[in-house]
Amino acid sequence: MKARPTTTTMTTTTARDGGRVNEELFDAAQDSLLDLVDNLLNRGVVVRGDVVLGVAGVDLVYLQLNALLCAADRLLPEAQQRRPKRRQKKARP
Amino acid sequence: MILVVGIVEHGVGVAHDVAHGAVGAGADAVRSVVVGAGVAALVVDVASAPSLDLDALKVHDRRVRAVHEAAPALLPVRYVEVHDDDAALVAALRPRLPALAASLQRVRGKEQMTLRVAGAAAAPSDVVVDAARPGTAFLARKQAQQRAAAVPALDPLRAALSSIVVEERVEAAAPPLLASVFHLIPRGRADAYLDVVRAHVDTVAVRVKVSGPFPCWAFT
Repeated sequence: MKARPTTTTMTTTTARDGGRVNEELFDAAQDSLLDLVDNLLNRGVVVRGDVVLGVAGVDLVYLQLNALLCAADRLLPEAQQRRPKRRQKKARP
Repeated sequence: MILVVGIVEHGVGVAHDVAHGAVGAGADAVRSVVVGAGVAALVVDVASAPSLDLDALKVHDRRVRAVHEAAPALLPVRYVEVHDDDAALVAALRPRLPALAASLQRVRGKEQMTLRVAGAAAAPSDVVVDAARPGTAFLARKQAQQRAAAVPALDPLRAALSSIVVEERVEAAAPPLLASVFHLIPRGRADAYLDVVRAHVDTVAVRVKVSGPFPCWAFT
């Protein structure tokens, strides 16, 4: 396996001129943490279904489909499993 | 229980390395699960769902990078993706084989650079509204908003990077950031990419922080 640099971080800053400010966005440690968390927790393949609905090339609706099907006792606390069925609302006169 | 690391092309490059234990070892050993149609998933056997803490993230990041080095094409899988066993994973992935194969083709021989951008948000351009066509007007306004969200202030830098960047994805970010911009580039071009950014940083009216190269997290 070839050795490659893991992460190259470069901050580009601009001198104060017409309103631009010379400063670091983040320090190096924060920057590495941001990339680590953003990559691993916000990106990558998700086996659940993600759908973006659009019209005429304009994205309008993001829908994340996440269905979990399992026996209730694997997921719900015991108290909730005994919850009575919802009573139907009576029609108002 | 298995922890999914990434999706690769079956029978190419990393499959050989994985079979011969060249990717990870011991508890960190990665193995291949054939999904079908030239696609395989790389997994690690775990006793329980991995923890969600910084150390675990770093371990997983190293694991994904090791696979990225060994595979010409890798789609990293979001952390934490666990399944009961190989059969459950294959069943979940099989319906998506065509899309996964297309994504693998897109990221083959590529890696990712990331720009974190801060500065003033661009105002959406004015849209001529036709009162008789409110639906068209709505779409036009949405389109203008999306163009503004793409950080047009980066256009001079984009032009300079056009010979390197294969694909771009932009995501609005919470303050103090304005946006995160992800660039897909050929592997081995990271130094050239950084040289271009350094040379053109004064041409853009926003602050930019560059990091990478990474596996293609944003292009799955």
